Amino acid sequence: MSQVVVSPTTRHEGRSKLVLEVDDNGIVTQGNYLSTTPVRGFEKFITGKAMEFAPVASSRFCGICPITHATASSESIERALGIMPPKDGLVLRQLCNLGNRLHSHPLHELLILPDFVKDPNAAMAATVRIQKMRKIGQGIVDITGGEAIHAPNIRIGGMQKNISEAAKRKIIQMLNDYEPLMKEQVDFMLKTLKGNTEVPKKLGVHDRELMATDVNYGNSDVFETEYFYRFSEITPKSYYPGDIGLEACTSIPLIGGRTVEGGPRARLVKYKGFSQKDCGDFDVRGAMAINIARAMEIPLAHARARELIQQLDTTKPTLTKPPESGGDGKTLGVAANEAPRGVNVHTAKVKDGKITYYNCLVATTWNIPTVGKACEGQHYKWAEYVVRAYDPCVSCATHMIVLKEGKVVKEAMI
Amino acid sequence: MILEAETLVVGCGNILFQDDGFGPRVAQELSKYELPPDIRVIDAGTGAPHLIFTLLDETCKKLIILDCISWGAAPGTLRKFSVDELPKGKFVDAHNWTLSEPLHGLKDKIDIVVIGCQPARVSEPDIVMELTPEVEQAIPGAIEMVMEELGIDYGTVRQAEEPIRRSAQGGA
Repeated sequence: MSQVVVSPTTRHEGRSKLVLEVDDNGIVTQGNYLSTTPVRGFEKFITGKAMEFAPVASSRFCGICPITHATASSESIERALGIMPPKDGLVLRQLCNLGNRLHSHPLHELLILPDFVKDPNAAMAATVRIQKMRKIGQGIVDITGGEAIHAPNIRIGGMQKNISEAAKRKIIQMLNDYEPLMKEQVDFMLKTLKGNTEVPKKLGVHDRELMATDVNYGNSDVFETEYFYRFSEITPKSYYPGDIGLEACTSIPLIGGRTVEGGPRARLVKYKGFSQKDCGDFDVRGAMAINIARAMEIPLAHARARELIQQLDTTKPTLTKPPESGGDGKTLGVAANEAPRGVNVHTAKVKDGKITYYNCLVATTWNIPTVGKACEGQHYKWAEYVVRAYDPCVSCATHMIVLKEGKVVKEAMI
Repeated sequence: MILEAETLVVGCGNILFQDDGFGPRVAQELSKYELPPDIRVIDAGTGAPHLIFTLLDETCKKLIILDCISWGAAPGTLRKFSVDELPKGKFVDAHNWTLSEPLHGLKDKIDIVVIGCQPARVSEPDIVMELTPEVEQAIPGAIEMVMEELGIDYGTVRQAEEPIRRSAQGGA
């Protein structure tokens, strides 16, 4: 029995580490996956600030998926204030979020290409397709959000302004341009993934609950009614064995006392009947099924984006202006948006227009402990394949709490 | 990303980490000027390496990059850098990708100018929104350097009534 440490793990976002206990044959008997990106204290920093600052700051957690942070942040405050954006504001916001997915999922495929595509010509052709797809996805965010990276159009109460008819036509054209690239890339990825004969068929199999609120954008009501009442959060020190948790920079969120998995597989299993028949020889409960589900999600996101752009009335308002001094300081606004890699949950309380409480449980925070469990049962050389299947965005996930006798006593940097 | 402008002025850095916000801050100030339509100013935040420098349109001829760079000068000092002066860097992961690596890949195709400002303090991982006074005072000089690169007489350029964003919104 010995320990294998992989640090840092690569080809994902942020810094993380694998600490694996392995037997004499190199089989992982205990898997621990932990974030080593420093805690940055965003939640503490946001508290006390004007509510409009929350989506601005939280969308700077990371440059990879800032849109879903901005939308979840805005929605948590809207729910704390009891306001609802206009229909066309929601349509535009969802479209912006989908633009991010149409870029982010192909980006993940770029990161896993070296694991599965050995032919350099095929890898180059896929890279060119992916870059074109990413560009269109970012272009949709750019038009709808006002900027492709930190979209300033996403506001509490909806979207700051609607787009023009010309911009609407441009998005329709961009989605048309995306379609043939997507078809070729998705076919290529599915064929490549399912045809792989080297990866263990049961790679990354685990028995944890799958958590999802929607196929595309997210549904905060579903999160509140199905998950939130079963939610708890513990420190990494009380989760990881020995001293491993001392280095970990994320809290461990639990549903019903156990870790969960969010992301493409969870969404497709819950809402699209994703099952063993979709996974070839690979186990539907394992890591390869996540990669397969991610590829299958791209056409779903594309089809939904098409629906939304057709629904958008460019003459209608998109913003319900929030009250400047709104909020009772008691109502907890809970917003769950589906980031590309899982459920992104922001919660907020507002009093007189200022944030009095803020908490983020982002997609990767939910997945991190489950990734460790999923590494168990196969040779340690496959562990990084498991990590990458989850498309972890570790920088966003560095959130920390302090518990005393089972109760949260403060949030802090440790 | 709509990057069909001939010249892109890109502010890089994170506004939450004190002087690391130099680039976005200059980009914000530049958006107050009426610039020719073939120039686009972007606050690229921390996403520049993978969101901009790998997705440029073929129409892009020139990149002007603003970032805080530490080279041991007095805080607030401004200096132009060529790409060859920047360390090459190496891709480790999508989040921690350095600014300079994709620039080395682009330098023979596009004219690239990097305007660096020596920071006094980058607060990461602590969040400090304000620039240090030294870097704050360097902003007008940085704008002047950008205008010079754009071939615009700084004394004659008009400030817009509200921030201008040359976007793909088709006149929205």
